[in-house]
Amino acid sequence: MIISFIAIASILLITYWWSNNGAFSALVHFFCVVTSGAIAFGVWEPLSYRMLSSSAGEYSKGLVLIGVFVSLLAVLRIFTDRYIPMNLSIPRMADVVIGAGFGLASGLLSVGLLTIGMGFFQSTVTIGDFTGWSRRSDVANAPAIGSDNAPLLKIADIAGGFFSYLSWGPYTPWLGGGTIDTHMPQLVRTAGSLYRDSYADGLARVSVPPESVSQLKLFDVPAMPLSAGVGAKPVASWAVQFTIAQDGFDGGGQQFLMTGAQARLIGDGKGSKGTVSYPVAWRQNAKEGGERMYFFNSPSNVMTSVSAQGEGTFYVFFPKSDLGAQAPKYFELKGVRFLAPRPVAAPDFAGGGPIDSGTAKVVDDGAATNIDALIEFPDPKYAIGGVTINSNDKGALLIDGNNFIIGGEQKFPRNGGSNVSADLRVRGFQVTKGQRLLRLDASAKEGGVRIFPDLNEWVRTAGVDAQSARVAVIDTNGAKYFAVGMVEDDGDWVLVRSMGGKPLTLKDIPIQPLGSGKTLMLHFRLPAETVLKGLILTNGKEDRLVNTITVSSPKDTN
Amino acid sequence: MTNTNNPATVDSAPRERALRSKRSTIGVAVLLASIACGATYAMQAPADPTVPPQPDKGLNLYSPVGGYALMAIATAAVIAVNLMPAKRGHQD
Repeated sequence: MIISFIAIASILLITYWWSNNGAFSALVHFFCVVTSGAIAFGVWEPLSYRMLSSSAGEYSKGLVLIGVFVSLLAVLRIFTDRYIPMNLSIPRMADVVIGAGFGLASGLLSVGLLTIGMGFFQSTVTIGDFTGWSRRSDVANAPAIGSDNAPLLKIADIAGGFFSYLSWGPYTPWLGGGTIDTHMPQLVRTAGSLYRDSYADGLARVSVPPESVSQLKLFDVPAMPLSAGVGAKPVASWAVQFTIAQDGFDGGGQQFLMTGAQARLIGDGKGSKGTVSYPVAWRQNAKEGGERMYFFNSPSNVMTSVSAQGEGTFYVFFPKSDLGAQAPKYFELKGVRFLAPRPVAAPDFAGGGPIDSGTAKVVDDGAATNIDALIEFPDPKYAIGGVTINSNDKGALLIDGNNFIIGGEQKFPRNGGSNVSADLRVRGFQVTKGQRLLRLDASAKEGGVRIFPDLNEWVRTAGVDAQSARVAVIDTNGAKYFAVGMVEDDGDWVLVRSMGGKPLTLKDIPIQPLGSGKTLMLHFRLPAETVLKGLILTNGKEDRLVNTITVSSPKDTN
Repeated sequence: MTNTNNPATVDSAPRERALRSKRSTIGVAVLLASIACGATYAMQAPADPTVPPQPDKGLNLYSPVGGYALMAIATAAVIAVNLMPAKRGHQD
């Protein structure tokens, strides 16, 4: 109630302020609020989507909506005060009452828009004592979403409903090509607080870079059980397949996490409003191998990519009945809307067999050489090699609380600072429990890794396609583990570069002429006891096997 | 005659027999319980197929401080811009 009380107090303050400023000024201010709000909603998504891949991606939607609203309102107010300087003379009582009316309307719209905008900042689900809509353990059926009916939701509802209504008429957003009700239905539910309802009470990511999502497919699935209960009733559904790359993962590229509140299927909006369906089940790779169905029937069930794998393919199931008579038009993943592909007949989801997701196929150019001798699995605690780094002198490297490298790059003098105490010593690239670090000697030399133009004809001739290719090791099941960092040692200086969650591509690797004497170490994160198959260059269309590997990662001894 | 109770003379053999029998009963019970626990554990050992893969421990998550700070700034900005005084002034 405290947050709702603050909101109501703010509205009353604005009401009092404008009753005191007079009816005409309050009317002008109200028009400024309406115009600023409508334009803010109009340019909201086109602008914020451009920021999703930046470091402000987690806050972009809230920043753009509130930022545009506040900036425009300030400009319009300055403009109207300058060019409409005269006042109307009306009886004092009417001046105060009408002023209060327009002040109240301005306050409701402004505070409501503020509430909606704040809902799109990455933060905890519960703010103060306000939660609103979220996944709840007292809601029995998947997707287990319910509301605490906080009064603040009513204020947001008024503002959301008003701007949704305007978006049908003269205030139609010209950049979005639709209305709020067709493109962002149930806006207030999303803003308060399903958008923020990520793993760990909202501390995981709430958005993804659009380019990290690929292989989108929509399946028309015949009735099958979509809940964990014995003898569950078969339900017809739409299933969306998507593959997410490492730059869309949580924890700086560690794992992809998604709750049942973070995906939805939106209807085509025929009949004014788009209908919405939240997922009730999903299918993914299991840690033990093979694919399995899982269910969003509990808030603790979170879609999680297999540890250390560099990408994940998922199938998310939405009950058809939720969309009513509407056909699916958009698939929204962590607040990012994708046009739903044309639906196709579903494979046998009910069976346990593997499903061809259409991901890249491994291509062997026949010249792959074995590189087992170039691989080691060092102690992940101190696995940089060539340099000892003091955490107080780490330069642009980003490290976590345990002194593991999680981002950035920096050059260090070779063997500098070797007397660093264990507590201050920067460790290697980050790994978690159950994982091992694979260090590959990728120096440019005959018989070495075939990722350089001098050693691989495809790299030499494929141009941009090759330079954008990501470097990964694959296991015998075809799962990819991308390079998370590299260390280049030229004898005098050691360059340490972490990819910070983005897979390493060939263009990230400094030029390595044959015989230069430089050493280049690539670091990969993979689960313990993984049977490896080879080193690949992958461009999304094909995985080119450039070297073979026959070793397995050892047990995690930490 | 002294007012003290003489300790009674007791034949301890039946008591020891009873104690021994009680001990062996407890031992059997413990053994059976261990077997039952082991069997139950063995039955539970395969992972529940409906439990999805779990997030790694030690995953780097966000601090909510950035979001809170932005919310405070946004609130201040929206209220401040709504309280910009009109240059026309009030009419009292």
